[in-house]
Amino acid sequence: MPAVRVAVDTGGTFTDICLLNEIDGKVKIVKTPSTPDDPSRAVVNGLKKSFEDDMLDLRDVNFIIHGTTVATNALLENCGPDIALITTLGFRDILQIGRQNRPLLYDFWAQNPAPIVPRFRRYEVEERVSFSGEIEKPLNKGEARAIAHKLKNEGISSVAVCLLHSYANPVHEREIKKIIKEIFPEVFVTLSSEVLPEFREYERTSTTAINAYVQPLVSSYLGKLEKRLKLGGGRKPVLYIMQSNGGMITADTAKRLSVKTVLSGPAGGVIAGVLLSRLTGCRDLITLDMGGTSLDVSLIKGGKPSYTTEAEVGGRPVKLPVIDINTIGAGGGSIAWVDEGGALKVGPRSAGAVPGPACYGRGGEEPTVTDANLVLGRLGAESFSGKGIKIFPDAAERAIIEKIAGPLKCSLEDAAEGILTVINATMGRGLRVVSLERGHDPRHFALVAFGGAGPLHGAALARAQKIAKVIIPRYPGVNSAYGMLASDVRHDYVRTYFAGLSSADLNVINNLFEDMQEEAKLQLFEEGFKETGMVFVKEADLRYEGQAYEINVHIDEDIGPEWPVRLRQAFHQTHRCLYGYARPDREVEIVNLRLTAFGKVKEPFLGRTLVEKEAKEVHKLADRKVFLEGKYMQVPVYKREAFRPGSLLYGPAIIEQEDATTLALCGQKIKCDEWENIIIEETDFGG
Amino acid sequence: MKNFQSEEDPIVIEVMRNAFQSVAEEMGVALVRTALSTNIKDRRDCSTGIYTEEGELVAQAEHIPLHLGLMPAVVKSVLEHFPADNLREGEAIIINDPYISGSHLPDVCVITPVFYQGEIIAIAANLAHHVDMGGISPGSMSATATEIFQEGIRIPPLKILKSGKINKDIMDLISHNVRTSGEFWGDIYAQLAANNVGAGRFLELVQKYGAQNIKKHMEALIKYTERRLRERLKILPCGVYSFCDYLEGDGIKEEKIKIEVQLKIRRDLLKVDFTGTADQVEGPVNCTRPVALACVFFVVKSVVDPCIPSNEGISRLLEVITPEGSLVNPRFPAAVANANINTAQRVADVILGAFAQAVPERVTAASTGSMSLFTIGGIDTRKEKYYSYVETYGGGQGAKVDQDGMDGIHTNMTNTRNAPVEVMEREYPLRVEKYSLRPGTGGAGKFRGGMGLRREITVLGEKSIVSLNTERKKILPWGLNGGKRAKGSLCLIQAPGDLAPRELASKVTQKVYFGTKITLCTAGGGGFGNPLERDPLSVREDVLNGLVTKEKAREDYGVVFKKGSGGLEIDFEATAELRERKMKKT
Repeated sequence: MPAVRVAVDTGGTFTDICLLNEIDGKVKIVKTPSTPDDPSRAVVNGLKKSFEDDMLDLRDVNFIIHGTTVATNALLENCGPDIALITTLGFRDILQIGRQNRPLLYDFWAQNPAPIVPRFRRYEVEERVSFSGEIEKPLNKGEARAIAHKLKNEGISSVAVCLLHSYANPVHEREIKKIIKEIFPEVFVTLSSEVLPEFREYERTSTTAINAYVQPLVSSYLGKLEKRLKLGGGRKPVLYIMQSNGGMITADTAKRLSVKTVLSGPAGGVIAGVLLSRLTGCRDLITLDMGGTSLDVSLIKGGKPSYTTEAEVGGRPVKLPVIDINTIGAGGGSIAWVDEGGALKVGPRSAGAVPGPACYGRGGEEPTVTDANLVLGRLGAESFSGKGIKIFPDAAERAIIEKIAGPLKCSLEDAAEGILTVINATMGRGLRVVSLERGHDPRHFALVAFGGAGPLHGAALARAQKIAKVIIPRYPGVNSAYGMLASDVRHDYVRTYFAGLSSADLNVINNLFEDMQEEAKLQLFEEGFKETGMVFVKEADLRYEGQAYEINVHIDEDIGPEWPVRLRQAFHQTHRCLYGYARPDREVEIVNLRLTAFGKVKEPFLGRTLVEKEAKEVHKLADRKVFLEGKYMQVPVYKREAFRPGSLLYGPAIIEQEDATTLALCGQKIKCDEWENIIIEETDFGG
Repeated sequence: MKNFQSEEDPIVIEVMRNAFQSVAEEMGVALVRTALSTNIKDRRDCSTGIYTEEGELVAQAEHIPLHLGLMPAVVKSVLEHFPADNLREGEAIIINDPYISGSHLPDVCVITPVFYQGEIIAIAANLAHHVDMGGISPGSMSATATEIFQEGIRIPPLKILKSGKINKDIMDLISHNVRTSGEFWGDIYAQLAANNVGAGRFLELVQKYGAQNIKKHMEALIKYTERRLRERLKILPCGVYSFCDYLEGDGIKEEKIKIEVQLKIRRDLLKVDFTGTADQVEGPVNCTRPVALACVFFVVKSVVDPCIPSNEGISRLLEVITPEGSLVNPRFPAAVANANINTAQRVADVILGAFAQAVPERVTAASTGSMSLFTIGGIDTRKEKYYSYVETYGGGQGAKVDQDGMDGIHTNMTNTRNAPVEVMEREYPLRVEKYSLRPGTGGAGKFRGGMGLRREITVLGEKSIVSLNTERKKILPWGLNGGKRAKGSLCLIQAPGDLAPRELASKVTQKVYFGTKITLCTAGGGGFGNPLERDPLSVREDVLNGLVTKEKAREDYGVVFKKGSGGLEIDFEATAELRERKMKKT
């Protein structure tokens, strides 16, 4: 009986399915239209479709990994339920004041997002805990009860509780939860000490409130999906949900800690990059996920993704570890225009799916990046047929002539190529943000280009940034789903503990780590893992006394008497590496302790084909007239399917496949590796 | 690239703008990352820029609008004192003298010429707010200084770097005169490092595109900005518009200080004339010309084109007159340190007020009007150490033609972040009793002004000195087009045993004892349009949220709620009637 694992990634337009046969390592791809009113319908439709030819059914599935945007969409579209917030007396406006800064310096109209809980649903309760966890003023239980009754009367579906210094002592938050549950048992309650027991009240309140906001939706969606999957009787697949940190959690955990899914959308693509880095041996990669409206750039160093705890969703902070992804408004649908100063601009405004690029003939009159690619012959009209879209090249030409070539008094081709030059410059800046601004030289990295538009722009962007190697994965259009196949279960824990390294109480530190590890183990046991399948990673957030920013330092030994000395050295070294200097004379301070727990799932077995010794010639489909580097030339067009491991040829070349088109420039070498990735390399600069 | 040679290729301009901006931003990231003091690291009180060899700003990464006007001025005026042919490769200049560079003494500027084949091809420079530059009070921002010598050490343009080596004599002299010499050294290293990053990246561009091309496109980018601004100016109605407003005091005397502006809009020129503004004053609120320029640039950029690149091109269409010896262009040796806190905000207000007459739909009513500085220093008995808490508070943003002002936010010339309560209570002997919006402080209007902020702090340290520095207590933030004025600021003190809090002046420095509670309340923002035209549902929402009382809803907005229900059901009929009656009255 075949055993398969399936990844299902819900996107705005399509739901992507990636099915891996764990016995022969074969991968199967299915795309099915998304069903935004109830995304679970598309999930089940897609699964059925992917089972069809192979006579599979749900019983053959070991587990399903699902990337869902239910939480993200609720936040971005403000369509969540009415929720309430309970804070310490005097501080209900923390959520609204935030960090008192405005989003844009010069735009009077640019506003911070409306607080996710309106002021009249933010309740204050008398209590006070000090920063060291002492109770300065006991909880006024009568007030808490009165609030609980009010919540019940108003029919609130979910409530967040975030009290000052609750990271140091959660007892009042827990008492409040108990009181609410007694009076109003069916309401969802999120405690800040459970979601993020870490200091800095605004970020903690925001994260807690977001969990309260998305929890009812995620929980009912997953319940519905489980029903549709009819996971009753017989062997049932485990349902895992993708998190923003690139790991998975079980559906049951996701129903409780739903906030962990809010930035999971682009995470799968980065995890695919990690998988590629393992397969290809290329340890340092920059992933470039370019779709219709935006570009997600992320950096993988030494085979590991970069993380941040400074993430935001729609301007609201989520202070959980998430993969560090820079999103900019550059995609196939980005609109080009000429501004008042006579400069050519592209994006961040996008034509989106409706009306879409001018060439879709759906009423879009503004020229987009896709129109420019079409006019120059880089995209063939037939490459849209896979998406079921009829193309009107005349409309693309007309839009570019009217809006760009006319005002700039240049030829159609110069205008179209200009659009691409400008979008590549914007993408270059996005790429420099995740590399140079974080202390990494992009020239030492390879680029992984995917998403619908990534493979078309990857080679040109790499050349402009002096990056020598571009990898186009086998399935660039469903790369996120592909990456999810290789994800592990992951839980992040944090405890705030302030102490100078020289005076830190090691017993306390050990106890805190043990405490977190116990919590993690219980969680992983519950999710069906055995102790042998668990991996724990310890870290500490450290800083020089007086600094406002912490650096995360890995702990790879037992915490004994020698430990502070070595940790201090490790911190100086990391500080020097990141910031160019260290201050050995200054006291180092511990701020947070972190534990990451992994539940290891079986590594996916992916089929590979040995490279044939004699490079087989790739069958050419046709030659096409393409405008490249300022002139028209005949460029050979290939089908992706014609490439076999070991295939080798030289650019310029266009490679077409159902979900993307790849362009390689003059002088670039094009190889196909044993995993059927296309590797594009520069031949004239060594790097 | 056949287009490349032409004078103003629209595609190349955009590519080059990206490239130059990248250089400036990477300098900024390097500076913030490598700096030692939280001023630069956390509050990001710093800016970086790339200039032509003549000192014309090409691209800038600014984090605070105040630097928008300082950066264009600083390199040019330093070069006037210190000609470029005096500079060699491996050299850098340091300066903080406000009478050359603008701003105040804590803002130290480092300027590095970028050489290519033995000639200066560009200049990299940055400006950063240091923790302390000496003088009579920690932080070098005394509220009572009367001449610049009391405000700290004044550095003329000096070569801090020669043949790539730091001039230790200069550094020793300076660090001997500042309170936090460790931070000073660290931050100067960071500033030098940031310029090196800029020079390196710039030379990469030169190698890629060629020196001539780069030079040509620096100028092309400036011209592009000028052209774009010129196009945008055409949407403004030509004419002459005047406005005036006041500061409430200079820290020495509580007396009104007038700031007057006349704005002349022509097709191709904006003239901003401060003639009529009060003479310079004794206290440290005198505002150097570059700070006044910063306010002009800020308002022009915000009103005319928020996305325009910040470079020399903006200045080319502006004529700014700041009479010598006035509050906005003081003569040496007037004290200047606190002009940034209050004067800059008021200068921005008067320019906005003038623009409001020409294009009310593109401005805001007056905002909170001060950066509202709150400092407490003393002995932390828990740690037996000196402590010093410094924070600036936001307030209400003025309302706009179609949008309410934001509540509790930093406006106009600043945008620094607040201090979390959980950080304050841990690091300082302070207990925060309340941190909230100030209901009822936003000016009423069809669109209402934002609410001010309120922070109540109990001092748990000994021998503490509290300094408050705010404005808009008496002369309130104005509304526009029938919008009402906001509520003003309020400072309160309550010593242990006091039955009720007592009001303080808005600029005050005084000793406080253990257990004393200090409250700083900032002003709201002015309203926009007749309050009687406000959507009753928006009024209801404000009442529901406790930001406007039922009584005020009736009085200011003419909105009546149904009696008896207990809830907030609008009585639309009674509302229409009341509004009509009120309309007739006016």
